[in-house]
Amino acid sequence: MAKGERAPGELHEVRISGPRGRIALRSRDWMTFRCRIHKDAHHRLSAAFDQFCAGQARFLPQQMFHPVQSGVLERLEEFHAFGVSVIGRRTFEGRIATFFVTEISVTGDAGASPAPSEGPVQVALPLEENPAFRGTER
Amino acid sequence: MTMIDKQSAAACDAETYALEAAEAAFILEAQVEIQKLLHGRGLRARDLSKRLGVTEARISQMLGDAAKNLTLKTIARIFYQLGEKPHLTTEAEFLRCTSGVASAGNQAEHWTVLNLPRDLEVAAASEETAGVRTLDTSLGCGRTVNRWARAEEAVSERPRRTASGR
Repeated sequence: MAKGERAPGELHEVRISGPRGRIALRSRDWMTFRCRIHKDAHHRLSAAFDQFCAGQARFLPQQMFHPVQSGVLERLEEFHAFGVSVIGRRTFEGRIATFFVTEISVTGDAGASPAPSEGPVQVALPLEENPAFRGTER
Repeated sequence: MTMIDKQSAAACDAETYALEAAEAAFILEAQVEIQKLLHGRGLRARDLSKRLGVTEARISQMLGDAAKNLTLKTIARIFYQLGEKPHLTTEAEFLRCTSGVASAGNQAEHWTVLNLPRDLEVAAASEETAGVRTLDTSLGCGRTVNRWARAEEAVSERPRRTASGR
């Protein structure tokens, strides 16, 4: 592959489309969306994507779809549901809006907490007596 | 090989997936319609909370991920306070009633089905959204819903119903 070219997996592809909008994700983000987030977040975000693609983005609850404050200069926006954030950038081609997903992240309050580790639990540290405080001997 | 989380949507069977997706879509649809009403009237969640006599936090919960306390009764109350009346119907019925807007052809059909001169503005604005459940709401969702209701009356001679029993 020539320098500067992106691997096929790094290219955004339109995964969800509608009459007024499209959602484009890279393959790894698409896999994350489908297979690695909680189903509640997946379904709510899917519904939000459908509303976006129908041109209803401005009517989504503000807590669900809003600009990312840290990305003021980059004009990043975020879909958020059940602790999962889908961050990206919106572009327009005429009346068609395309949302390019740049990141999918799971915050600490996500419903889909990872399966608890089945490894050994850390052994409780033994209590230590400080001999210096035993009695009043010096 | 893709690791699939056990609690992810990919781990569900097709029927469960479709069922849960339908639930999520309908809940969000209701929330979006409420937002449209507020937007059309220049109101905020704070104004709605005052009209309903509840806290802003309660409104935030209703419009949140879990749609807490967003019952049918509450939806009816919200629409009432905002001067509207919700209608529950099937998508097929909705598309049938709005087919005069969706079709790009016969002007006469526009007049016959909708029979409202101002609806031409809505029709023109919605031509590009043919087949989509939600019409262009630039004129305000409330008036769009009223026009749809009047269109239904014009088409059907049956008594107007507020909920589809299919």
